Amino acid sequence: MPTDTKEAKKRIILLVEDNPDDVELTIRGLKKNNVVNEIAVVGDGAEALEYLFCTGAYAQRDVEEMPVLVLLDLKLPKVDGHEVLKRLRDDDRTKMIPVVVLTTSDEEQDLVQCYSNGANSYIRKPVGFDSFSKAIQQLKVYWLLLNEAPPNGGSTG
Amino acid sequence: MKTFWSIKRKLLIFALCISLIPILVITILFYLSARGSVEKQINQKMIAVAESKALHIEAFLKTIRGRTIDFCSDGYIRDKLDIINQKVLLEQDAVVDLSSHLKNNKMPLDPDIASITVLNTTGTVVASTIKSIIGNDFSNHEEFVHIVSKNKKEVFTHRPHFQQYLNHSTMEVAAPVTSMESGQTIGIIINAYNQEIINDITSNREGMGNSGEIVIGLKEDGTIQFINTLKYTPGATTTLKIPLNDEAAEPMRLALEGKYGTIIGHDYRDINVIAAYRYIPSIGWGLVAKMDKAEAFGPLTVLRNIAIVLGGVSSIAVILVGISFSISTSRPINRLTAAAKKISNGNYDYSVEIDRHDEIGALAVSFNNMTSKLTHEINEHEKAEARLTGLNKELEAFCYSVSHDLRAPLRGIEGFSRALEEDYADKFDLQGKDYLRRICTASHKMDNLITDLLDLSRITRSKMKHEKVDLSALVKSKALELQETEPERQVEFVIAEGDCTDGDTKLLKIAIDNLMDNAWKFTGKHSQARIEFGISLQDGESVYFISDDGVGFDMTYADKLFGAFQRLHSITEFEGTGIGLATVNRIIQRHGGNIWAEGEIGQGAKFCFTL
Repeated sequence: MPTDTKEAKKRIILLVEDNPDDVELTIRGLKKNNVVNEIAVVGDGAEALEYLFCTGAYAQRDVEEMPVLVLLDLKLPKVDGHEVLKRLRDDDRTKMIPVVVLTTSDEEQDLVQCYSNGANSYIRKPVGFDSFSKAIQQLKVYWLLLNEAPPNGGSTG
Repeated sequence: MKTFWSIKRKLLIFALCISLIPILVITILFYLSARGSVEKQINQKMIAVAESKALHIEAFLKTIRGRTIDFCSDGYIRDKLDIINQKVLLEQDAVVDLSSHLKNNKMPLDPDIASITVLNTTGTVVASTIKSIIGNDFSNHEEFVHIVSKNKKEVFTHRPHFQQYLNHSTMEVAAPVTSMESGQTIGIIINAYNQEIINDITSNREGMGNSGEIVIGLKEDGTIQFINTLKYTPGATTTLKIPLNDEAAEPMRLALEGKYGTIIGHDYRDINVIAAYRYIPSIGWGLVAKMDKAEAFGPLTVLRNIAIVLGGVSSIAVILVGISFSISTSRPINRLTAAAKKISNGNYDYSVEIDRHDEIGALAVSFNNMTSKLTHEINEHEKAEARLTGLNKELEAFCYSVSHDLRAPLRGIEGFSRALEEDYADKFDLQGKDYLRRICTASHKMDNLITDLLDLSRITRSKMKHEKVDLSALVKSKALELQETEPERQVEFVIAEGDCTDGDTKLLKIAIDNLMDNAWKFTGKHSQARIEFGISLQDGESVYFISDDGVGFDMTYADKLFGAFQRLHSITEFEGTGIGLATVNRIIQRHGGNIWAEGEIGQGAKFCFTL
């Protein structure tokens, strides 16, 4: 893991997903594509918000350490994905974080809502693993390598 | 809509015609017939009066003539006249004697005689009941002229006229006196009768009303000369002369021509009269019995007025009845019409208030029943629709959640099978790897099934749009897609151009895609394939078809083709869920069309449909 000489700035990817199988497969997919970032996993929308704003169970978390990418599922218990997205975009601390919505929904309404709430990308979770893997790879290439992350996420690495 | 002939107007006109026309006709006929009979009556009466008067006058004339003749045959008179004529000594005495004889013996015989005068053959008055005229020359008197000068030995009757010597209007009857010995005319005797006796006859106007008058006249110098005293202008009797050709002289003129009858004309006062005219032949006078038309037909006027009043009153009554009837009949009809209109405009709750005990009432009752039934049906219908919509929504939600909830575990199955395949490949032998592969395939298939089922249900549920759809364009774009998936395949696409048709673009795209997918799939075994889309005309309908030259199918199973999950090939030969054609069938049917297939094993298949 390439580290900075000063502080090891952790470039965290936050995965918001309630289905443990999907979590497993997603992480495997990322690993398979040599994504070595730390992956934080939260299982529902409320926990996602707590993590992002360092409240509740994550009160101890360092606010400076914002994720460089959020992979967000829409169908979440407690607080659903749309709400998380909105709250994320409302707060100054988190509003610049790139958010990729990873969901099974192919409803046009969801698509429209996500984009109007400020998602950066909308990807449908395909069943076939090949295509899923390809999607992950493309994600990694684009978001983690090519894309210029906003200042808060640190410099490219 | 008031330009049409409303029932009310029709009924009114009909009622009026039916009732007014007979009333008017009857009234007029009645009046005319009454008038006819009244006229006839009056005519007959007038004629009778005229006739009776004429006869009376005739009798009167006969009497006075008879009397005169009688006097002429008086021996005493003849004697005395003889004496006087011979101019003998006793002449003066004879005159006196004769005169007294006349006065005392003759005149009393007839109270109507005004005077009796005897003339000699030279026209000199030799004796008279009026002493003062004895010795006067009467030779210019018409009687003398007629009897002596013209030597006519007959009675002469002179019409009444004013006599100077009598200072009165009289009528003179004269007859010759003949000598007892020689038989020669020795003189004439003149009886003068007062005008009044004629008047007495004519003034009896019994049966002629107040305005009735008998007029006697004769022709003289082209004019009518009146004989009796005229009722309305008594002083003018002798002076009033009416020219023969005057309108007022008509009745008298006709009488003097010897005719008899009745006529309506003017009289000497220029008033309309009804006149019966008659000739008195023995003296050549005309008699006219006349009555003012106004009085004669008086009863008729009354009759006419009664008829008018009755006719008017009954007409008004009839009109009112007609109006009320037409209104009372047409009003409910109008109400019903208005109600029907309201209801057709959408206000289904309207009910008509008509309370009648006839067919219209029954109609209104039926009408109300109909509308209440209609309202009920519509409400039921709306309820059913609402229920359906609700069910549909439920179904949609169900499908949606089913598809997603079913897919999640599928992802897991497939994903972890892959993971095993890739990460633990060395731990599995061929058999194990085969099992894993089968697991993957099975889950893929299940996913496809879910997708197809979702599509099928969505197609049934969704609202059909009505747009212009270019089928050829859909086929073309799908052909391109297919070619891109397997560029190495050589497939010839023959796509016909056609007009746009009416339908739902989305649904028709799904149908075309399905059919094209099938064509593509079932020609997969051929190195070269031909897929065609065309349009033909059958019985005035456009028939579209997609045909291929692939493996085809056995026509005996043709009816199974469109059933859900029906397959005519095994999975190993051709993959597929068997839902595709069922979906296409649903879509075509929703467009109101038909689909059928023709095929031959090894020769290919042709799917035809109408919309």
